[in-house]
Amino acid sequence: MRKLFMMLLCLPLMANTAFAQVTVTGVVTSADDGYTLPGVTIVLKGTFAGTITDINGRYSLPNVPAGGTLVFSFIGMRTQEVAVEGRTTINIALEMDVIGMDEIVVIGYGTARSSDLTAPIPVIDAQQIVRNVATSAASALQGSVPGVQVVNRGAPGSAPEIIIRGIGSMQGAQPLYVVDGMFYDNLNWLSPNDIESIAVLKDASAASIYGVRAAGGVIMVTTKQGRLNEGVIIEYEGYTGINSASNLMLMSNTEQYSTLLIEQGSYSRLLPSIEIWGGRPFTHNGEQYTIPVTDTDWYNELLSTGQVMNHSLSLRGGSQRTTYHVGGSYFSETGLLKSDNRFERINMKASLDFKPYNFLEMGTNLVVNHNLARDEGSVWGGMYTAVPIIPVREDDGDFAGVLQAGYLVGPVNNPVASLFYNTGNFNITRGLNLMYNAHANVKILGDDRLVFRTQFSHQLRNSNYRTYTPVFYVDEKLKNENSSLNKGHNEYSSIHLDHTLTFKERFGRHNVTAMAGFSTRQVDARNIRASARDVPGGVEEYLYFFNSTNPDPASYGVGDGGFAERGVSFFGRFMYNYNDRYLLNATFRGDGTDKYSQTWGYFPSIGVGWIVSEEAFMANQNILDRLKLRASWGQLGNNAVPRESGSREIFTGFNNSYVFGNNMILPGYSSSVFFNELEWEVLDETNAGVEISTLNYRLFAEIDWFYKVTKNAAIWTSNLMGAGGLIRNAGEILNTGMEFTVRWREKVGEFGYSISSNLSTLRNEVLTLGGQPYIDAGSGEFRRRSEPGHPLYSYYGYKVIGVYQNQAEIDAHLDRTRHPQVEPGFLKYEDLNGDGVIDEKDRQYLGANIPKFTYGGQIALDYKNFDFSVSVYGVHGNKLINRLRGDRAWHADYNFDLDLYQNRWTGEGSTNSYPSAKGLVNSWNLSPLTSFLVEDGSFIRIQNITLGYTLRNLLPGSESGSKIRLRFAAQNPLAFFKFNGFTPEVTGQGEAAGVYPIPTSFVFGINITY
Amino acid sequence: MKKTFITGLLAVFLLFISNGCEDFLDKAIEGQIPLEQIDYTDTGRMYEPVAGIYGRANDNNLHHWANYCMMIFRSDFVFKGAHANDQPIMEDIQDYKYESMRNAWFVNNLWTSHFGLIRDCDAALEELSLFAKHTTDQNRVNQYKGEVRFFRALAYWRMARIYGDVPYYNRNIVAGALRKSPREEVYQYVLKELKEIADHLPAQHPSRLPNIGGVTKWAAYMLLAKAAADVQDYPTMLSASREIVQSGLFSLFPDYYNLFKKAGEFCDENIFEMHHTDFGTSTGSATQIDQYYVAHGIKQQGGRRFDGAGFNSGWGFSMPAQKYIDMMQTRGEGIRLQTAIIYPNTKTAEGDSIGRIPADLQALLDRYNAQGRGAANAYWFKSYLPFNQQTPGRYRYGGWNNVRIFRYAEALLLYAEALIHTSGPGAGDAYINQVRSRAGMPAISGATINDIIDERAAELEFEWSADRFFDLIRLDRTDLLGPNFIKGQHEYYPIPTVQIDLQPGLAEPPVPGLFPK
Repeated sequence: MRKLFMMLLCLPLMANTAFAQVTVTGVVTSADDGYTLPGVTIVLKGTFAGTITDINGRYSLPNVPAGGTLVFSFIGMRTQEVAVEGRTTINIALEMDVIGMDEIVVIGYGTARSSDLTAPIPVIDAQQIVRNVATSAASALQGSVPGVQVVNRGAPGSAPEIIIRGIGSMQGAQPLYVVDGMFYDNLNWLSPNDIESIAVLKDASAASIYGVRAAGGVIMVTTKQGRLNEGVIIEYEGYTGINSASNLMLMSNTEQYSTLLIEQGSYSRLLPSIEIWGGRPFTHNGEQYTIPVTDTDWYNELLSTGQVMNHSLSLRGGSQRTTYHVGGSYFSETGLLKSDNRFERINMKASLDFKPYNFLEMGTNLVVNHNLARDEGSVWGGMYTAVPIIPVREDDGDFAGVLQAGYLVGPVNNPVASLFYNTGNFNITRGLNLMYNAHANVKILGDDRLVFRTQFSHQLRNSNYRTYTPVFYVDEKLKNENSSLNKGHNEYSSIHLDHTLTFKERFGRHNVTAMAGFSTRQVDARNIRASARDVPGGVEEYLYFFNSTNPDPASYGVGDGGFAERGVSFFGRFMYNYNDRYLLNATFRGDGTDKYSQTWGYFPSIGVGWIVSEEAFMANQNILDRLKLRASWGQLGNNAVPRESGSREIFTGFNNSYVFGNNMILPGYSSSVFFNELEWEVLDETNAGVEISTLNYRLFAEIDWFYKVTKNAAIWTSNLMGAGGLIRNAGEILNTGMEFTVRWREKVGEFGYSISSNLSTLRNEVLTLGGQPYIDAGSGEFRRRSEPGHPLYSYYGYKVIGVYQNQAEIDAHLDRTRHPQVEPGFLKYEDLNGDGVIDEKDRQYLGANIPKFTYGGQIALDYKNFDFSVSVYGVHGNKLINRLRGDRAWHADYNFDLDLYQNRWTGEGSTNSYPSAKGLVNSWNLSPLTSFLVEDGSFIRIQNITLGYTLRNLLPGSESGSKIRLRFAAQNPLAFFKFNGFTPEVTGQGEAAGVYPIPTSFVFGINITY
Repeated sequence: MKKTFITGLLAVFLLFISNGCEDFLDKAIEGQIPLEQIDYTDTGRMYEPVAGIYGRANDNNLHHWANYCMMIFRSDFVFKGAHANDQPIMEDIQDYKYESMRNAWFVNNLWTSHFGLIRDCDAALEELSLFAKHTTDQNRVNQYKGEVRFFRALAYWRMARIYGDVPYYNRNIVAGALRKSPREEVYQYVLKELKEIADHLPAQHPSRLPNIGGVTKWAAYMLLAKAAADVQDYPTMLSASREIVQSGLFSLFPDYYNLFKKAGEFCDENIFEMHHTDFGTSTGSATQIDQYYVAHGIKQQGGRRFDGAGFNSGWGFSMPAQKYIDMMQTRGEGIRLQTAIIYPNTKTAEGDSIGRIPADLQALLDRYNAQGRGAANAYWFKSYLPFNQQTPGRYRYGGWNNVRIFRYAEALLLYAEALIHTSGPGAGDAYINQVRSRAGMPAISGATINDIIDERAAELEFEWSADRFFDLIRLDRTDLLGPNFIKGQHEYYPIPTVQIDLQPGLAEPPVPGLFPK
């Protein structure tokens, strides 16, 4: 079967290379430590004929002419050419490349040796990804690359937020994802098993080749491809495991909740519950009370254990003129809630590359991705607010409503009932992504000296969703009188056409690579949606609009929308290297867009490098194996600006019309009279770095400093009276920091180990705002202010300096006529101007959701057939707003987390940091933002612990040696943080409300390579 | 040969680059009709910007439930209800504790909803000017502009009443340059605007206009009289209210109770009302009325419904003071008290059941009373709409009932008051007695300003203007507001911090001369 497949693949390419002479066999080892090297490419020079060493470093190459020359090449090793001279056995030891880890790095429209780079481009390889369970490709980045902050999201199938070197734009600058040369907005569709490597272009000089879309950095993914002469490799990867919620925030039970209400003087809130569901005696401070019998633990009612499962199977390999990689995978994950709450992903992939002639390579890639998500609704906030004095169900089995217990308005509800009905197991989103490209390389001059490449890429995304809310009635607060069915369809098409011409030549000691390119981009998106009411439910198959029983045409809704983008870019790169010592890289890109009033933007970059260790004066030292200094500068643009800005608009429809008497509707409109002309938002970044290898390449260290300024920042400025606003180019934002990477790698006998760690610092500061003193975001209660000299979106409010312990303390601090309601046990705010009045003049900066440090580390051990690794990730110095607690400013009427209960002020000297029970619901402590609600967002997470065991050559008949690896892994087993919320990983500006917690997973996996 | 090939390839490559980029990039925005494409020569569409303003005003701008809370909680007749933990910051309003409110969302909402309307009016006037170039019918242009300017004046008037010194809004003001104007200048502008537009607006009864319920000359005069009264401009108050009374177009609706129910929509008494309707259908479009009636409606135990089977209760945000009931009983009020107040554990005339006061609300009232504040165990009743007057299937408290803005009864009281101000006690007797007679009250003679204050409370309390607090301020009777009110300190709300953050100049003293003269 396998042979037949191979034949089919190779049939058109069967070539005329039949000069049968000798078969050469041998073993390739590393000159450094004597170990055999698997995967070394051996090619008969001047032909396609070749092979690859198997798992034991052995190779066998038939039909070698006696006078031929074999070329041995391997990543990180110096390539060697060996004349056959009639031998049939050639054993060879490859030496480590003098340049060090001289891997080939994908740099955008080309590749380069890492030693030639003048910008930091860290690379994560497949091994590192496979070591982690990493259910999503992007989460594999967390903790492994300095300067890249990955904020996880816990819901099944959700993609993490990635911030590279700080927030530089108020318009949001997510990284650009480039997979095999094609642009994407995320990596959700990608199966981690298909990834060969991920490279991160984090500084402007590296990313500027991608110009306008690269303001958030670029994450470049190369997927696995077959290699020429590799034979056939079949790989199966499977794992299964369980997910559970961890670090849950504990809530008050009925006794604790009742205690707080009694102390607040709101005991009567308990009466309806007691009246309906019964009461029991309770003593508080020596007084007898009756409190409700009901004591519901909502976590128990809502949480369950989720499952994660993955199967993937692939076949890859290559013959003399063809390489291929085909495979498929299935992934599923169920969430932590007692409801059908899951994500599934099915992927198929095929890539084929042909070399029909010496001067021509052609190939195609195809990925089909299907995913399905069933949503959980937003029940996490409901779990926090739900009060324990309501039962889940009444005696007759119906859900209990909260109205009868007096919770008329506000967020308190029965979250089990709302999860049951509102998600109803009928909400579903399906996506079908089709991504393909076709490319051709024309080698105009031999030895790849001049290559013309053209690539056509097309991404087609289709998704449709359905939401259905059945008719239900818990009580007047939680009910739905008419069922509603919504369906929508989204279609997205993105076409890229890229042409590049690359010239590479060596003139003595001068190495030159020059590339010029041209790219066009065409994005079209359309959506259509419809809704109907009174569609019978209960069975999924009933959910069609024509089943609606409502005759009123007004009960149907329909809408559509769309957007389009056009882009044209030309770009070029010049890389020069003198004697492998002096490096010069320069790029230039021009981007034309239809988005801005200013059509064209131009983005240059330049970088220089000096490999000091190659100098003659370094030749006689043996402390430093390698030392490289580099510096770079670059500019790039951000086009993540809403398309609508820069034009005048009118608003029509019912709310802009009027109904006069006799119900006569007169159509009307209103207009927005503000408009603006936008220019490019430009990012200007300088980077300087040093790379050191020492102790015989065992210790590697890299240090980078960056200074990144966003100029012409497109900022949403408020119009007068806060009545809307518009985006203007106003301001500059700075992000600067240092990044450190240290890696130790050693092999002692059969014991190999590596320790790597990285740390990055970040300082974010608004430099100017184009004359505006500051720009506000968030509501008045949860103000974030951006002001020159402070980080972007800094929290702004009163600073708590204690709790008033007694009346005398209040009288000494406050003007009692202005603040009559303050009592002992209330928070004490810093009175900045000392006038005895706490007002807006006393607000100050309370931090921001921008970490001062992020760090990660990994320890990996290998002994014989065992491998073990632990990885850690941490964030330090960011602050979060506890919105769960803060929402009490609007509705004081919901449950209290246990921390608030346990630490509350109960009398003089009890605490100086938490308010009394009464204070928890008093306006003094609720509004505006105070530092009581601003909490430390630092955390340390053990991301992964993996223990693996590998069996080799267990299965007979494999061409490249077989291998079975078993592993047990714990993903996110432990996290340490102080924040009082579901998780400290909070995206955006740091308002933590009902966030889906990051699950802890325990996984067992098996990988078979044949 | 090779060189030619390479040169040729490069040429093709360059051709790719230079060809047609600009055309490719020149693409219109999907699905958006830009403003420039409105055909201003089609003057048949000229009313559209005006209808847009009615729509915007009827949107949450003028009837937001929290705006109404802000207006009414300062009255000595109203307590903040619901329950203690629902919008707890609002409780500070009734004690004039303004400091903790500066950051509250509802203070800002009150501001932006009115200034947002002012902004929309300015934009609509610009639109009308573009249409005006294509018509010779200047009367029509002036009338349309007059309707828009009425809403703008209404919004400014409310802002000046609530915040005192407020800014003149002009979209050309550069960011940061906005300053407040003295309250007197805001009022002068409002008076000037109303005097100008009065002659452009139709002099008909609003119910007999082609656009039933549109803005008339009389609505402008009514606002003119009220605004003039606020700044003690009694000659203007007198002339404006006299115009309305002498027009002969208005008369009092005989049934005071039903005046506020469906039967009283577009009746002869109404000078201006905003129309609200659900079109009599159980689903589909309905006008935006926010929770104007719901928030202040009767709060039923457990949210239960009047008929026990199909109706949400109100939230009970506003609760009456015993002082009000006592005053009304002392006066011997009949129908007006029955229309304004209802007691728990009773039935309405239409048979809807009013249950007991829910425990949490009762606890709040008990606390007020323990503090000696005198909350009544009763509900405000004017926002009530009987169950049988609601559209089947579309049940909410108060339903879609027109919001009465100005009534003829108030015009009579304003006229009477202006006569007393200018000619002394007793001069307004004839007009007060018209109002009293409809309410089944005996005639009085020699009526003074204090009689006017009481009569206004009896006739107008708990209506849209929420005049009680403002009446006591303008007529210098703030002693009735209790000891917490400090004259000279508590008349105006602080400007919301959010707005000061946007325009720091708003924290500075007012600058004269910014409003157009």
